[in-house]
Amino acid sequence: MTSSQARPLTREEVAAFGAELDELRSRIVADLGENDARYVRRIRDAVRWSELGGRALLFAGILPPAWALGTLLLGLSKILENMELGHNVMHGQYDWMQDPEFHSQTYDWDNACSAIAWRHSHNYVHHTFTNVVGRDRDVGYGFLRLFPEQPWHPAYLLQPAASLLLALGFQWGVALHDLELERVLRGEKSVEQLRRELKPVLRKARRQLLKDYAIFPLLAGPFFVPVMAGNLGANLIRNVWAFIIIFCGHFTERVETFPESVLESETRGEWYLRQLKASSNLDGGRLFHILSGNLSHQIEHHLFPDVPANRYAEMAVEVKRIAAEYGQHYNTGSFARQFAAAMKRIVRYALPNVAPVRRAVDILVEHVGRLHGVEALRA
Amino acid sequence: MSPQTKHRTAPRVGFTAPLNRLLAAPIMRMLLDEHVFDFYASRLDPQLTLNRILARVEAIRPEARNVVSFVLRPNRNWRGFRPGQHVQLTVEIDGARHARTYSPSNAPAADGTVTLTVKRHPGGRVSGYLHEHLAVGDIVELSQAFGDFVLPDPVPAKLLMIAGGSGITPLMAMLRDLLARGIDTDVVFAHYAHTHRDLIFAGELVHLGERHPNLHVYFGVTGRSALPGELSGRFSGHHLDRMASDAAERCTLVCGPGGLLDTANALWRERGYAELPRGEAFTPGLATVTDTSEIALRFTRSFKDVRGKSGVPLLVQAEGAGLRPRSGCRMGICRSCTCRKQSGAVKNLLTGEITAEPDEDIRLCISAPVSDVTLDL
Repeated sequence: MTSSQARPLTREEVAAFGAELDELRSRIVADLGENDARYVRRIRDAVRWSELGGRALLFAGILPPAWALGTLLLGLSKILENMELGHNVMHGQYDWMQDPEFHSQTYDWDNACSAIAWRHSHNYVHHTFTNVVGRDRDVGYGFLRLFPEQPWHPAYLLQPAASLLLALGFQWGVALHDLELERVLRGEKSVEQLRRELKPVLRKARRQLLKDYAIFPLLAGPFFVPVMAGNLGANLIRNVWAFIIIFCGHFTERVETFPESVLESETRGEWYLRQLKASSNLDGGRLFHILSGNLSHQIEHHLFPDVPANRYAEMAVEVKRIAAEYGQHYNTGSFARQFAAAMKRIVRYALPNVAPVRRAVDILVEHVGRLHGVEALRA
Repeated sequence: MSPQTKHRTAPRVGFTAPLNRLLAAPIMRMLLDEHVFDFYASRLDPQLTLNRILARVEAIRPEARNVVSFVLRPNRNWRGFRPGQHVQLTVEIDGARHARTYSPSNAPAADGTVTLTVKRHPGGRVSGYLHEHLAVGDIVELSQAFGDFVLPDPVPAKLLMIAGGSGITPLMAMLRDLLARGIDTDVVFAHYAHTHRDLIFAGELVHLGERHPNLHVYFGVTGRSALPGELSGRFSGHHLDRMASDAAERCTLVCGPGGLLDTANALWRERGYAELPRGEAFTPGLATVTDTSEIALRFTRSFKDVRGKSGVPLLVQAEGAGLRPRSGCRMGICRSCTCRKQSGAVKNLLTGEITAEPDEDIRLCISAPVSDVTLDL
């Protein structure tokens, strides 16, 4: 599997490493209270007002500036709702508030993927088996090859184009993800089961489609077309942004993947260690962190998926210190660098693992990097 | 006492009713869910909601030592209550919502107010918060009223009501309601408390007793020596003989700590009275389970395996393990804590029933493991 750049730890060290993270977690959880509740409500407020503002502007969308602003504002609202509100609430980060508006079991987001399917494919499968090839279906989402451990097939030559389509229709990719279509194709899953599982997916999809492409446009009367186009634009903005942020979280340069054998009798400390090695952070300011749904703190999110995201920034300081103490690599970098690294993987692993190909891609990437003056691409 | 119209259970059709119907339409649900509606509506009026019952604190008055009444005015979503029923009161303390169940102590009133009479418990988080922080003008959330502990209909000719401590609230609501409706039933009303200072509504009961010849009020103090005319010590057969020698003929309602109800039931059985008291104990028999052998608990969603104790409610054990399952009343009535049990046998602490079905929904707060248990938590 991907070679580790970290110092190997003894069993005792792994246990101590886990204990330190547990301790950090307990300290933060014990401190949760009014400020955290106020934070998530302020995010909720921002989502609601930006949606209202965006849709109102689109209703005046016959004027180009109003249309552009409305599309942007609605896109922003959807980003905030999906990423800093929905994703985090559905992780149960705010379950302690016991407020049905912010409870993981009752929340449903403005996304084509149903909350139930998401909680299974993301909260359970991805967060438990993170970067275990063959178990974590987020490693390539069943159709992309992003690590050398995944066997190559000529169809992967199309993956740069496929990735672009995924970026544009990301919410649909996510919605279909839990259906495990590739397993149906391989005959590991019955069509009957697929049909059963398809029902709720279609229900949610219909709801989302009707909302953005029929009901709101119809309400706008003569401005049907600009409103529909604006909604489409907003969904595209959200899709592309979510795709970018998520690819930066697990597919950057030095993230590691793991064989299934690690799951056998994995201790809590080892689980923590795997999460650290499998995730990468993005440096940025407070607004950037919020707009990324705090997935810019992917490492902290993977170590503590159900701790309120507004605490990740302060936890990151501690996690970084603990990682250094145990000689572990803490994978963080600028947005440009991490994104370039993720894109490089898409191109690199579309091709088979042979030395000349690897060299060719490296030379090509270096060349492109020089053309654009992006130092980061050569990282 | 003036004859009253029957306003008490008629659902009040609020202005949101047509709105509710409109919003229940599938097409509207796509546009606006309840939380979204409530968000914008609450900007116009803090009590304007689609379904949630938000109540404003109208008045606060002390009733006895450590006992305070809160007069609440719910919004239009409130459908009223029958005396004796409960409501769940939810308040937010340090960012987290906490729910407790109380019985309104007032007669259902034309003005729609609900009076909750709350005793402060030592170390009680919610009762402490209500006593110290809740102020006139604050908004709290209520559930609709629920529960079957109500007066039989038609009202029996003779009643015996026995109230222990703050268990007086549902019985007081029934008594006030009877008198308000001018129903001339013979009522023996006994109220027990630890000391005289703990007697709730004592002044009003004395006053009502003087005005209504068919109402016979008795006070009992269990922790001090009683004054002449009062009952001394805990409820007993001796007390019963003194206040209601015709107890066999009376419809009896008991509300108080578990011990009071147990005593009454035992006494009625011993004497062979046909009809057992209708009762309500506000501390369900959770503490009576003493068997605590060690079992294994697995919380699958949280990937946690812990050592648990049989006989202890799963909710308590899950919380002890650092989980935060949804919960509400913690006495088996609101179903907020309903959770899928994937395997293992649990005992329903209210009924004593043991079930071992795989994949069944149980209420964590009143289910105790009797074997290793796996929960979808």
